[in-house]
Amino acid sequence: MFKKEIKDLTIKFLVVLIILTGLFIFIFASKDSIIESTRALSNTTIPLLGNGEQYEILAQKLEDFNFYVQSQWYAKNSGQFIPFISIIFAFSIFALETDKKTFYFLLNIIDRKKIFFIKTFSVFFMIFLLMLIIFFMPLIFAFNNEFNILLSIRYLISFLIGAFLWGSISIFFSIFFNDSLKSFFSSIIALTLTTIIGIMPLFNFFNTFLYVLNPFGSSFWLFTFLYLILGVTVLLFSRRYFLNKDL
Amino acid sequence: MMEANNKMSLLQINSLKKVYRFGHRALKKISFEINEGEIFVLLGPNGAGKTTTIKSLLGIVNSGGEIFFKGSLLNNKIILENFSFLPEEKNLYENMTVGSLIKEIVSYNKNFDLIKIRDYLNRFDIQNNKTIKKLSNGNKTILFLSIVLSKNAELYILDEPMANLDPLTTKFFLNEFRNFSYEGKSILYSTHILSHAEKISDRIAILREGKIVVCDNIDNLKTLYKAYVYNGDLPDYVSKISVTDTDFLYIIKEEMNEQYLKDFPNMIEEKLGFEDIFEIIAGGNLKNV
Repeated sequence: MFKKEIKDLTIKFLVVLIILTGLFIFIFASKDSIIESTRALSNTTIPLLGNGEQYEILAQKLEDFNFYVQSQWYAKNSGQFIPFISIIFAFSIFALETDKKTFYFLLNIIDRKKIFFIKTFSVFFMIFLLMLIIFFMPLIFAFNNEFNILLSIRYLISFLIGAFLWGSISIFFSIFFNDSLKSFFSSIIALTLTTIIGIMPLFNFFNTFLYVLNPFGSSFWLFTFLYLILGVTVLLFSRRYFLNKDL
Repeated sequence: MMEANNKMSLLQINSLKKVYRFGHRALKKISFEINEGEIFVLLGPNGAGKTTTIKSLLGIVNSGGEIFFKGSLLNNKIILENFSFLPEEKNLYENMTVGSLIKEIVSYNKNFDLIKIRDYLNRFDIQNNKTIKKLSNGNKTILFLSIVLSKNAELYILDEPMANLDPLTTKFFLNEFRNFSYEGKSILYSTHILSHAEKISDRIAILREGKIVVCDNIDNLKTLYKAYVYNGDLPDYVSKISVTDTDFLYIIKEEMNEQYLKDFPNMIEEKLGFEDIFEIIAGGNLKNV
């Protein structure tokens, strides 16, 4: 059934990949104009946003390809999609089978433990593949630049961990609800609520965007560890719930 | 474990009960036994608990009670290796082709006999390269049934297997089930179609409101009760079905027969059909007289 699952996820994979590729091309094709427009702001003073000098410094930094990739591609654009990509891949993986009542057919062939393993593995295989593609995409434009991808390796870690956490949460909702729509909206609501709560400094941990978009903070390794533990716990709980669920 | 007819007990179900959320008691401690090579038919009105019984046996829903397979407590491994199940909802993966579905099945479970599946599909001219969503409802049922029957199992659990099938195909599969039982394989068959039960069952169980009301073979049931048409009222405690506005069919237990004939000599004996017995039992009108 692994082949079937991968085939089912391929359409989502291609749609997400096309959107990200479009975004990627746009960001890198408009590098010069982004730098120019940032520099143009140095002649103006915008209240609250700071004086022109800062824009000049920013424009100079953006000329460095490593900085440009980190700020414009990883942090500002692709990084925002990470939790959503996980939710899109995971929300229907179990719920659709319950919805369409195809679990009964599956249970004739393999047991619940294997079903859980195959489905979970397929989802994370596709999600992680996309994370790798997102991470390595800038190499396409790197041939003329002094680009050191190792400087950005923390982004790869934060993408993988963030994607794993939201994949696990969405898998749980997919098992808990017998309806794909409920599973999707529950995941989105959970993401929204945790993000809002996480705006308060004391509850930063809940805001996974802060972690994914800025992996250079002092709590990076602690949060990496905690998110990993949380993801594994949710996944183990989901497995237990699935093995005992009335289908 | 040895039955009177020398058949070994394959499955023993003791006090099976299931309470759904909000307290609905779908099964109220039902017990029965399925023997090797036996076709055991579950009958009952909608909501009687037939599908819940099947799902409980398969561990699809959690339930109370004990189930033994050949004397061992039933577990998931036994179910996967020895049972083959056709659900009421015969839904397959619509976007797959018949061939790719079969390939996947065989690659994951060696208990399925590829040649047997192909034989069934060739017989009904279902081609490998066809997408499942393009098959008619009847052909989808045939495909599902072919897959289920191609598994080398000891117990085939079939929930409404003949839905959407034409009479010729139905006849073929009913014969096939009988052949399976000759080979020593057992079948648990849930249906609404009484003629199928009459044709192939070795024993039936009639469920009503989560309880087994009767578990016997149909011939025994027919001899157990006598039916009479009478245009008047018998005492309230006699089971009664309306035939016309004035005539009623009364069902009386064989052992009470003489007594009633003495008291109501105008009663006319009627040949009792299985449908009449089912109507009385499943309708909840069987009275213990």
